Amino acid sequence: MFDWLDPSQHFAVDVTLITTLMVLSVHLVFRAGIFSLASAGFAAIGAYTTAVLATKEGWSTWPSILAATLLPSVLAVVFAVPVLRLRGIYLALGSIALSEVIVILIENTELTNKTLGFIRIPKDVNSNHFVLILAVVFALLQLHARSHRGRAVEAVRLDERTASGLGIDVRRVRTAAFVASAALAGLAGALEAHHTTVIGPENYGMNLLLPLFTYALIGGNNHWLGPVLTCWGLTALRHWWGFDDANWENIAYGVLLVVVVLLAPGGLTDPALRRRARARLARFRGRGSGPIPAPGTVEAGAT
Amino acid sequence: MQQFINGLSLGSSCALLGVSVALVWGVLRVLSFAQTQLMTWGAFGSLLALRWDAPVLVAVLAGIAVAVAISAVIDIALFNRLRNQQAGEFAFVVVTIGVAQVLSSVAAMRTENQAVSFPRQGFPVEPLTVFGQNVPRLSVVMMVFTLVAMVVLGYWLQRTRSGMAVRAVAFDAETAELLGINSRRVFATCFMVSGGMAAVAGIFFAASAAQLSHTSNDSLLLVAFAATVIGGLGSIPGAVIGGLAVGMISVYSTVWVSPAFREAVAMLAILVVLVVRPQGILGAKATERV
Repeated sequence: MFDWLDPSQHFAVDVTLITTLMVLSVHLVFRAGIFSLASAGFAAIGAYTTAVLATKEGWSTWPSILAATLLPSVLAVVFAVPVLRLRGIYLALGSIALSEVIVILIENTELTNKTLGFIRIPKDVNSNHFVLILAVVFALLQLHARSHRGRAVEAVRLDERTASGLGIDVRRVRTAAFVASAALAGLAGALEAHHTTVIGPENYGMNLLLPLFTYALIGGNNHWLGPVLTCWGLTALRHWWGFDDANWENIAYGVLLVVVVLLAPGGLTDPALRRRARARLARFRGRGSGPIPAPGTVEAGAT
Repeated sequence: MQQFINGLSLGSSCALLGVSVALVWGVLRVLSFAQTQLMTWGAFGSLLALRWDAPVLVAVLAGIAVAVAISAVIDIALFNRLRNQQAGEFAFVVVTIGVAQVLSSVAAMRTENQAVSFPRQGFPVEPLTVFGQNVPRLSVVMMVFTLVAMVVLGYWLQRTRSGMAVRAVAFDAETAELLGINSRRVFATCFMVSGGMAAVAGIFFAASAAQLSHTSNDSLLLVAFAATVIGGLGSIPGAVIGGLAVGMISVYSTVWVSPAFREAVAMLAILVVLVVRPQGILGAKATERV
């Protein structure tokens, strides 16, 4: 599909498509008001599941990717019981701990080659598969967001107590979000493993999470398109400007994170931001000056 | 016995970092991800001073000054704005994550992603014999420093007027303000004190490892969180006990099970404590927060 690109750009596009899945995994939990940082751990489970099945057990690619999506989801159902009992910061802490425990266990198990990781994972996934999978995920997300279930998730994020008063099973909604997020993370981890063909336990630490986190927060929790467009926009900008040095990129992301939290706490798709921008625009026009760009349009321009 | 002393020494530095995190959580209600970077920058600050041939004591003070200055900037420029906006607790966490990222990357650029050696001349590094055991003198110094820091901190919080103001703000910032306490100054003071403590821990780790890099303290972040969680988030004596416990667990699990289980044990401790007894060992019941 992207064969007209030169190989390095092609690789970058593939990586971005997989990263999009990870961003959505983070978005899914944030959307339900769960500040979970466990996506990295679930991605590790997915990647290692497919690596073990494909290299040691001789499974073919797609069944092992399917298994790599299912196993994290099943584990997430189990982990949800203790982790989702927590709230707020405590949940964040608990989920980080969970994610780290998963990585440490991988580093100490014979089956997962300990700290060595895997090489020569069969590479038979390509951009077409990624685009197809993303399209399906987008469609499912959009259908879900427009359904009464999507509205229930929204309600749980905005006010858990009211939501439960309105007859929404808060625990079920939270568990479902956690499990769906784990499934997406597992899928992304598995695709990534088959795409780069090399994985190691050090790839699944906090530094994997930071860019995802930046995209999800800047994009906001309101609509899945926000984080996705932010991810694509920032990635495109990065390649445009040719940030070779990862440090500059990290500094930029760190500053962006802080600035967005200070100026637009709900992210760029927050309706409150749009309302504020519109009000300011109206005031501006009233004074007879030209229009200013509303903050909500920045990311559309960036992509 | 040797292990016990190693555990105590590692534990005391974990405890110092844990107290630093606990103070920020207890008073500012912020879970700070920037604390280990304050450690690193404090250590870099004293490294610079050492390169200019400053005596060790001056270098330590310089390191503390760097970390305190950074904390002051973070509190005044960022936290204060968030407090004025009445932002939720995540906003603070996210800001500290962003700040930590920036600090780490700036340090990485200055050192070109390499670990630099940390000169140990002047630090008390030669071994000391206690009860027939060889103990690195630096560990003993660190243990004593931690102990003194705890006593001073305890005295400040419990016995002095400004310490009372801190406790009042920690209990209820709004009421404290109505009673005429300048809560902004209390928040800034606490964050700066915790930054200074982190810097001392950072200098200690750098001196005992004889090297320093922008990521050398990253793995300690979760250990520090473990120390604070085990002791009860926000409780200062709890953080000391938690820190010592984490140090002990680390050393003994390294000896008896496997070195790799060190972090796993700390993480499992976080999970278990959070789920079973969220208020920690010494924490007060905080039903509305959990």
